[in-house]
Amino acid sequence: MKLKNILAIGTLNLSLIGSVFAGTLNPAWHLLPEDKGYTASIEKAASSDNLESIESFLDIYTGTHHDILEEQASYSTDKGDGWKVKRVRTWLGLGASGKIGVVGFGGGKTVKVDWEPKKTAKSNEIVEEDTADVVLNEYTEKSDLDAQIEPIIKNLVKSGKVKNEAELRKNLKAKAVEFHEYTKGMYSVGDSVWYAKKLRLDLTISASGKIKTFVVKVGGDVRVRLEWVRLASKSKDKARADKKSIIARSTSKLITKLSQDLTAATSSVSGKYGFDLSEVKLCLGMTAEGKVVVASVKGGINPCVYFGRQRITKSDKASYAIGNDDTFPMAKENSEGLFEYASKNKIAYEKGSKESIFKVDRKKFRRGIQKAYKFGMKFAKKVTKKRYAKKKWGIKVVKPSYSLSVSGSVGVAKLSGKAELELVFKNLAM
Amino acid sequence: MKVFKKALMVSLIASAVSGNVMAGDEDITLLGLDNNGNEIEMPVKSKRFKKRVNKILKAYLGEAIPALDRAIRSDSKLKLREVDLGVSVKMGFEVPEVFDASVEPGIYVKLGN
Repeated sequence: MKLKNILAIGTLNLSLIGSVFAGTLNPAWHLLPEDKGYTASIEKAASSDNLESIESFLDIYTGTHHDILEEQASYSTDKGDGWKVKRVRTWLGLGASGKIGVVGFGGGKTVKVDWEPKKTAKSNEIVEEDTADVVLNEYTEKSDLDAQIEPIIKNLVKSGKVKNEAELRKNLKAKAVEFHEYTKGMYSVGDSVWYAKKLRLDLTISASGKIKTFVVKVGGDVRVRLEWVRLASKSKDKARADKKSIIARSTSKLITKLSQDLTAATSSVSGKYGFDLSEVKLCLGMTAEGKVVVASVKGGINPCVYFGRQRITKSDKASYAIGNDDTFPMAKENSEGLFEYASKNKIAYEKGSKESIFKVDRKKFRRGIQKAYKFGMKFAKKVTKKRYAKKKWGIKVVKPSYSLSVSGSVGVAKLSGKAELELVFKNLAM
Repeated sequence: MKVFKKALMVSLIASAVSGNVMAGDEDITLLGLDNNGNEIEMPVKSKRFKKRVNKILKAYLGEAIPALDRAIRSDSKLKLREVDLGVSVKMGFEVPEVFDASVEPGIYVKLGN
C-alpha cells in the first residue's frame, strides 16, 4: 500500500472519530471575559455559532432518552393498572474544557431537560422536584412564621433526622426572619414586563441542627424549603412596598433594576423554534451591612428570585431606561485574577474577606441576557428536531444555567463552577 | 513500516467506532466529580446506558412502588398516587481493575398510577 493511501485512510477515519467524539462546546458560549484564554473575538463568535460542535452529542443524548422513555411507556401500558412514568428530568453538564455530558445529582448543572408524554403534557405547570415546607405571601406577618416553623421542627426531631432541637429552632427561625425581610422588598415598581413572582430559599440542615452552606447530597442531610409566592395583582406593588429595613429597601431596589433589565433585553427577541422564555431565576446574597446583591447559587445559604412575565407584550421604553443608576451589585469569591480584570476594565468593587462586591454594568448585562437567550433557543432547537415529531414523549422544558461575569456578560455554567442565572424555556406545543 | 502500523491502528479503531455508530450504539458522554472535586469523563455505549436505566425504572414500576402502595393500604385507607424518585445510575468502566472510577448520572422521575 502506498504511503499516500495509508494517510488518506487514516485521515478519513480520524475525521470519522472526530465526528463521533465531538461534544465540546464552542468557548464563545462558556468563557467569561475574566477567564484565561478569553479574547475579544471569542464573544462575537457566539452570535454565529449554531452549536454544531455539540450536535452529535445532543443527537445521541436525545435519541437515547427517547428510546428509554418509549420502552417505559410500553412497559407500563402492558401492566394495565400499573404505575407509569409521568415526568423525567435529566441534566447535562459542561467540563472545564467545554466537554458536554450527562451528569448526576452533584456538581453544577449546565442544562436541565424535562421530558413528558406528549398527550398529557398540555399544562402550564413547570416541573418541580419538591414542594415548599414554609409558604409565605404578601400578607404573611413575622408572627405567622412560627405557626409554620414549629411543626417542621417537631417533625424533624421526632423522626430523628435532627438531634439538637434548640439549635435547629434558633437557626431555622433566624433564617426564616431574614427571608421574611427579603420578601418585603419583592415589590418592583414601574411597568416592567418581567416581575418578581416567587422567592425561594432551600436550607440544608445537618443532624446537629446547623444550616449547612453546601448543596445537599442524596440521603444524609435534611432540606427545608421556604417560599414566598405573589398572590395579589402587581399593580398594587407601589403601595405595598415596605422600605423600613435595609434588606427590604435594597431588595426592592435590586429587583426593580433586574425587572427593567430583563424587560429591555427581551423586548427585541421573540419566541422561536416553538419555545418561549417563561421564567428567569437569579440568586441573591447579602453583605455584612445587610445590602442585597446578586450572588451565585449556594445550597442552604441564599434565596433565589424567580421572575415571571406579565401578560402585556410591550412596555414603554421609558419604564426600563437605565438613567443614572447604571450598575447593580454582585458578589463573587475573591480571586486575584478577578481583581486584576476589574481594575484593568475600570469595574468598581468593594473588597471583602472572602467575597467582594462588584458593580455590574447594566447595559452589558442586558446584552448578556440576550446571549443567554440565544443559547437557550439554539439548544432547544437542537433537541427538538423534526425527526422526533412522532415520538410519544417530548421535551417540555429546557433550563440552561449561566455564570455571570463581573463585566455583565454571561457564560454557560460548568460542572465545577457556580451559576447566578437560569432561564426557563417552555415548549409551546406541550 | 511504522507509518503503516499507525494508520492500520487508526483504521481499526475508527472501524470499531463506525461499526457502533451504524449499529446505533454510539458513545454517550457521562460527566461527574470525584470525591476531591476533580472532573471525571466517561464515554459509555448508549445501549448499555439505556439497558441500565430501563432495568432500574422497571424494577421501581413493577415491584418497588406497588409493594410500597400495598404496605400503605394495609395500614390505612390511603392510596399511593404519585412518587417522586431520584435515580442515580452507577456506571463504571468496563475494565474496573484498570480504571477504578465511576460516574453516576442522575434522573429525576415522577411516577403515578
